[in-house]
Amino acid sequence: MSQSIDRRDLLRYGALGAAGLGLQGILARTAMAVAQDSDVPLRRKMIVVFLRGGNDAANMVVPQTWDAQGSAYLGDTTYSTTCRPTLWLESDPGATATPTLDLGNRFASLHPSFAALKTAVQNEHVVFLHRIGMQNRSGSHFTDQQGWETANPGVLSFEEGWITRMVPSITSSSNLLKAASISSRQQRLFLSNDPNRALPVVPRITEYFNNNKEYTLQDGLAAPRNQIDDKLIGSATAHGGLGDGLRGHYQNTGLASMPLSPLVRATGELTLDSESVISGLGTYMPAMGATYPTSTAGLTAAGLPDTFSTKVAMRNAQDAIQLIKETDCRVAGFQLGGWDTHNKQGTLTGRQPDLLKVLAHIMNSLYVDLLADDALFEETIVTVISEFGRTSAENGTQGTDHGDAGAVIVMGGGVQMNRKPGVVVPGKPVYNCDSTTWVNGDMFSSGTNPPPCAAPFTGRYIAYNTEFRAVYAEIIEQHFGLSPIETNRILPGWAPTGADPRENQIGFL
Amino acid sequence: MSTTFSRRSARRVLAAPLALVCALPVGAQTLDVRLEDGGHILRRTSYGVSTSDIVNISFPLTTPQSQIISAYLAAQIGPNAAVENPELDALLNGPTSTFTVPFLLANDPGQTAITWSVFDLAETNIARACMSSNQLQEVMVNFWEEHFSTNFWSEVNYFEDQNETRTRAEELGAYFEWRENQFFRENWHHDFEDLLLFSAKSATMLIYLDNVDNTANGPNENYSRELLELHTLGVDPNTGQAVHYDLTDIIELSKILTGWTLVKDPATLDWRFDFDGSAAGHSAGNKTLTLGSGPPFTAIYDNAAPTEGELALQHIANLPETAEFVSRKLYKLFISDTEPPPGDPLIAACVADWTANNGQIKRIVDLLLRSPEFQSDTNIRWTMARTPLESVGQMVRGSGGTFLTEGQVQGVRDDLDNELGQQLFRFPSPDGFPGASLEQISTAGTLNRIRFNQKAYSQLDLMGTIYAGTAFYNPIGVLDAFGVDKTSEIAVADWFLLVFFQGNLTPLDTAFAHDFILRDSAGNPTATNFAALLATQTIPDLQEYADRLNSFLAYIQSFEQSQSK
Repeated sequence: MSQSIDRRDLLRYGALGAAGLGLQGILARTAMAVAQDSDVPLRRKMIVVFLRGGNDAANMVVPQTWDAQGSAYLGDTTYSTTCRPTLWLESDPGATATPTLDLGNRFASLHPSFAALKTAVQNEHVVFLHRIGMQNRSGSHFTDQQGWETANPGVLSFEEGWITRMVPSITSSSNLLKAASISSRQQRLFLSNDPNRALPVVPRITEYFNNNKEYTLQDGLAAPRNQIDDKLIGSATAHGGLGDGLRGHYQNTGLASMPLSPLVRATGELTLDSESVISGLGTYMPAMGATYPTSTAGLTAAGLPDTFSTKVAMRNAQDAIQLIKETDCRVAGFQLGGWDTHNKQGTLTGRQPDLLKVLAHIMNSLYVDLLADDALFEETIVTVISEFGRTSAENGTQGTDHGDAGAVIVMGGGVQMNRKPGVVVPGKPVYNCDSTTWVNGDMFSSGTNPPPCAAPFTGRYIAYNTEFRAVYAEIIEQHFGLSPIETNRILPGWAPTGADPRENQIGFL
Repeated sequence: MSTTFSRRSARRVLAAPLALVCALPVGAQTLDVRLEDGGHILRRTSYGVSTSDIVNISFPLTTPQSQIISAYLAAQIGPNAAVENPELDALLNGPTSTFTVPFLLANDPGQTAITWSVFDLAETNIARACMSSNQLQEVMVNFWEEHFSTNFWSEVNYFEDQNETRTRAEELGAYFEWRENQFFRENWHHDFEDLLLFSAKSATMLIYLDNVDNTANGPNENYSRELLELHTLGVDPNTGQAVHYDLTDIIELSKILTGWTLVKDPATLDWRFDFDGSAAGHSAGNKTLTLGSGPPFTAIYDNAAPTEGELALQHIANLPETAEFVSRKLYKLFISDTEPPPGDPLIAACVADWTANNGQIKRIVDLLLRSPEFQSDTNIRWTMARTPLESVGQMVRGSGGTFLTEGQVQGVRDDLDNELGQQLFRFPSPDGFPGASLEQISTAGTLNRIRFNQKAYSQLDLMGTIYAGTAFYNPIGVLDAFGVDKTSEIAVADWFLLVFFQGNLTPLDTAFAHDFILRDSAGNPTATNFAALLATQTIPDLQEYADRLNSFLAYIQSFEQSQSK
């Protein structure tokens, strides 16, 4: 990534300037970036959000929009009520009070639920990458999620996450909290069976805080306590370095015949290490304009569904941003479930629209929170992924079934708008969803088994234009500043030859 | 007493041979016994080794392993299943029990409207895991619950959409989960097709995977896809690709299962399975499945009864590929996480038995547990990680624990839900709570287990009573019952190390445990010893004794070996 001020940067910063950042700040920030260019990998951060279940990308980034001058729909005409009788989204503002949000490229528009993210879109700080898919897609949630998480699709025995393999290249060994999955169980993105690379899972960070200490052994009775007793934790240095307590137990070798032993013990040490970092944090104060409501009142006020899973998602998002802002954690990830909308998917209200609203609210809060710290904003991206898109036609139960290509969202100070080379016009926040990358009828460009409304189209899904690992490679190289050699190590078996354009990097960073 | 050990002494203890033969103190006598073989069976087929198990599995050195297994299997899956633990029976069914069995619907006897929640259901399952004499049964109930995983909250949403009140929707959801749970408990060892057919018609599965809405006019392939991938044929264990079926089969099967739905009885207002054979409900025409190695199967159109789908599910249940997939999953439950290679003789034997005996699960479990792989391969021992429920079970069973009230189980259920991340009957993904070892090992799991251990044991003291009423861990009672010398730190430590680890601890870990119990509750190495603390009988001294013992138990329950089985 170039660190000099070029036209793109000025355009980008120009937008920022409108949001309140003066030229002085731009120059200072750029100077800082140049000065520290050599250690880019050690400064970059990422929040990764996994939408579990397969998000219907066609109803998030709609391949259709409204031409007010021409009074006509633009985009793919097969995105229609013929194939989506209840799920089709209207983009004509004359026909509905809640049209889709035009993305300005005379082709694509966004689901109205994304209204909350308007500022980030206008400031050119978010890009939507459509038609991202997988060569060895299976159609199974579990196999395809694993493929996205390990970046090694088609090899189920390979369990380690690609984030896990990247982290050693972007962290120093003294970092006690290199990266974390904010979840109750480990996400495979962060999983490792190698004790040297194991990464922590952080379920709920307020539980680690010292000020939550509610009970000591001497108190006798009462409420649960959260902090681990000092004697139990023990010392790493007691007994001439053997240690005692759990430190001692975990830092020494277990039974040689137990294959899990090194991993369990390394995980034990990692537990105490991450606890030592997180327990020193305080209650998180979001920046003005950012909210992560976890109460019924807060969710209702924000127009969000009052569900348990929304509350968990909000809490996890807030924990992720707190770790990114207040610790040296380089990658934090959390997940949103419920995207497997076989049934009653919803158009403007309902399951998917509600989830999109939650996602947009979270992304906007992360955006505002990151923007409050100039340097961090330039160093951090938020990446949203899902295992696949869904069928182009809706099924008989107002839902959609498992499909092929989906969409990836990337947000942050470093994203590049989609611009035609040599043309000085504002860029567009969408890739792989315009008249040069999407032929009319591409809604049905993949799969042979026809859906009920097929004629004259024979396909079932949207074919992918870009392999997901090309997106990862771009993040690894252009955001984290690592070399293609590192990419080869992190993405096993990824060897684009240039022969298949779907393996080319997009240029969004 | 020595409270320091140098690197040199550590090297010395490390050099000592691993003690698999243990000196077991029982009352006044000491027995030389072989614990490890019995321990292995119990670790894999139960929710943990209990204090009474430790006597039952203490076989003389001359007892052949096969005899130990036979005795165990005879008690667990023989014709004379173990008599249920009377304390569990009293907790669940006694006159003061608040765990009343729900009879909500008119098609059940004794219909009464009572409040029954999914939390009650989860708590009865936790109590059974910790206390039941039929441990293998409980392990298998949980296996089927996860194999045919459903999510209570989907049922609540569905019934609310059907204009039931929220309260009623939750009652109905809990009721149908309970029905399924009871079916698995009573039939866990029967033919696989019985289990598959029950699951396919149960309200829980109909709702969870959308088959309730799958009609000729509105097809939905969600259930047929997951049925083939998760419940029967499975995907290739190496590539994750479907090799025994394709998209055509998914769509054909979804048509076969159209019209399987739920109906609300207008007279009784109850919900039950229903078959809608109308043109709008059930897809017309014959359908063909080409699955696995079997010949093409034609489902003959039948709009009078669900027979067409029943025959198709029976066909699928008895395909050798289904036999192989489920047998492999059971192998991974009992024997090892490592996928057996293609053509593995034990899996082949399971498939052959499945084919010859209509997929009788009892026979498959028996084959696996009697196999040389399970019995003699010591390399597989201690290689699997425990799920949170299994950790809780080991903790309760190893500390002489007994739940006496619903409130006590509630406390544990609350921790499992909110701290340990295993919400029974509420897992949000159709592949069920993951059983694989790698999935259990995480900092969140470790931290929460440490905290859970600390909290649970901290809430017990010599004077009494804490965890929601009455202490259900009873380490002092255990020491008394087995005649362990309570005034000796080392005797107390060694007794619990034996119960929890059956002798499988490195000398260094034993040394760590001894070092821990010998220090006072603040970690000070110059501690008043147990004998002196007990001698004064003053409350501060007894409290210190309890603190020392409790934190010791929390410590060893946080050992690496406590996460393994």
